[in-house]
Amino acid sequence: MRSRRGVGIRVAGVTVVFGSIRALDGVSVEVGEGEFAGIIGPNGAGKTTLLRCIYRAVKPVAGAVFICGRDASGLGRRELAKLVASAPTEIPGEFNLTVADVILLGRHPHARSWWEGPEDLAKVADVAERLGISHLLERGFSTLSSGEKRKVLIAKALVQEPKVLLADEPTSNLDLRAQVEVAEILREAADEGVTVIATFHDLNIASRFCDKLIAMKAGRIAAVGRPEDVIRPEVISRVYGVEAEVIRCSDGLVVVPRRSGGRLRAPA
Amino acid sequence: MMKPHTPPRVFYISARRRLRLVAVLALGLPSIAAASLASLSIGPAYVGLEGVLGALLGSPEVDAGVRAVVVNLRLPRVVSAIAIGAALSVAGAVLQALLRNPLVDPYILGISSGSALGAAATLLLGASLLIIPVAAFLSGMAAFSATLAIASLAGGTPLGIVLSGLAVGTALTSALTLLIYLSGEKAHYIVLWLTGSLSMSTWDGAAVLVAATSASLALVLLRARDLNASLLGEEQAAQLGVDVARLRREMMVVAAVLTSVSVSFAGVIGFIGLVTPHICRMAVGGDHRLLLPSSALVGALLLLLADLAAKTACMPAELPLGAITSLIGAPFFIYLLVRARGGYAL
Repeated sequence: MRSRRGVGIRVAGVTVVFGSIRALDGVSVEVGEGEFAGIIGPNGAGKTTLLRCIYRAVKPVAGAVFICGRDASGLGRRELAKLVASAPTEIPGEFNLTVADVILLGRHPHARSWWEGPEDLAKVADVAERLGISHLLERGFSTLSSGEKRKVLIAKALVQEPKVLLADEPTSNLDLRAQVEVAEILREAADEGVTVIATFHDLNIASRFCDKLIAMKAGRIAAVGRPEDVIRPEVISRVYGVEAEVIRCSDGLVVVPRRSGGRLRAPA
Repeated sequence: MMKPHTPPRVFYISARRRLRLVAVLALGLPSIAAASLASLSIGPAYVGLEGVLGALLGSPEVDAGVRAVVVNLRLPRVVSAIAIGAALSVAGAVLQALLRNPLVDPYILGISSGSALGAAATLLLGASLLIIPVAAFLSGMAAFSATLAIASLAGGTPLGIVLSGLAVGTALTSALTLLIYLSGEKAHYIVLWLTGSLSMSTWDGAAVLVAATSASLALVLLRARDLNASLLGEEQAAQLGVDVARLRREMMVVAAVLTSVSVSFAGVIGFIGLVTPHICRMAVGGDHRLLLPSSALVGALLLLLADLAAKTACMPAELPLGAITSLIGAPFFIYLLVRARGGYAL
């Protein structure tokens, strides 16, 4: 496949099947280099599966994913890890890992020796400084607040020096300030040339910070485009089944859902 | 913003951790040496420190009988204790990381009981000394696979793995108990396997133990970074470039090798593999590059001390070593279980 300049991620006709469920059904979408794309849609629409497909945690039964023009299925484990990094929402268990330990793990694909080198440490120091988490480095990861944890997991992904950064629900369950902080970190990464794709439940945050929104429903793409083209009452009604008013203000969009008077819960 | 002239904090953090590894070695090795000397001098016949050192260094002034006791009887026992303490503790640390479950060790998972049954059955069939560790490995691996399969059928929760391991372990221990009744004059050997003892130690066994333990330790140290990555979950580890399936296979085999050689030569010694990694995590943190060497040293020291207690508490009679480690380990396990209530999503 010839490398096409300017395309960070191209998903071409990807279908993923879990048992009898088609989690992704012929999904095709492109995200440009240095673009910040938000995936929105109801639970179970396939948002996370699309991300997992890109970092090859799930194998599609049909279609292909191209990362910076290269077919992801042909890349070696380490090669892929140097191109794509993912920041999870949480990590399991508690094994006395410090924040420094967790962030340093992002250097794993670049490791040339058994012990981390000055290059690795400089990278960690730089990212920690930029994200404002330098003071947390010696803290136990499990003692952090949700917002701090989220920033540390994004820092882990950033020190991986990826071309593509994937984040699953980076702003969910955070207070307003932490939501803005995390979204700004992703925005800055995109501005520096990293292709960023994240899933969102909060349409206001997504439309405020993303260049592009991808609305998904039942394993398919329902709408793609600039936030003002996607966040429209008819799209929201089609994707979420919720009537909503979209208010344009000087600094973005606000989605105000209408009350349904219980009709949404009524059996179809 | 002013650029700081001093190196960022993370450089100090990294350097300090390296120092901590040196400190662990600097404290651990002399402690092991001291405990070893104590174990060499104490026994049914007391040998003074001069006698021990003289026998070890081949001094002509030391009586031949004393030398035989120290070099041929007690030294292989000390070397075996060091190797087995290190082996079981490293196996415990590896299993805890691999299953992301702080409640497991070779004993809890039923690997030890599987190995003991395999070893005992082979002994009854009259096989040679070298076949026994192989049989112990195969049956230990089979028990481990059974535990994982049952746990997976039960939903794969951390507590499910523990319960499944206890079920498999109990069944195999019962089979071993039945075997004792069928074994006639070899029964006292098999009883030693059931309760754990270093009194059967020989130089041949010690040599196999040292070889297997050092080879395994070298392999897990090479994989220490991968084990760190796997603490983030299998999907994150894969995303960081780790071949998760291969790591899992390798570490399962290494844990089974470490357990089965230990069981082959000293029987079932429970809980040491559970307790040691936890003590070490409190001291050096979760990084496996520090945790694995520390676990080896602390495990060796703990088993030397436990064996010393087994030898001396009711002299000249010997207490079963496995009973002593379990007596200390079981309350610790209960403490972890209670503390884990909310933390480990049981």
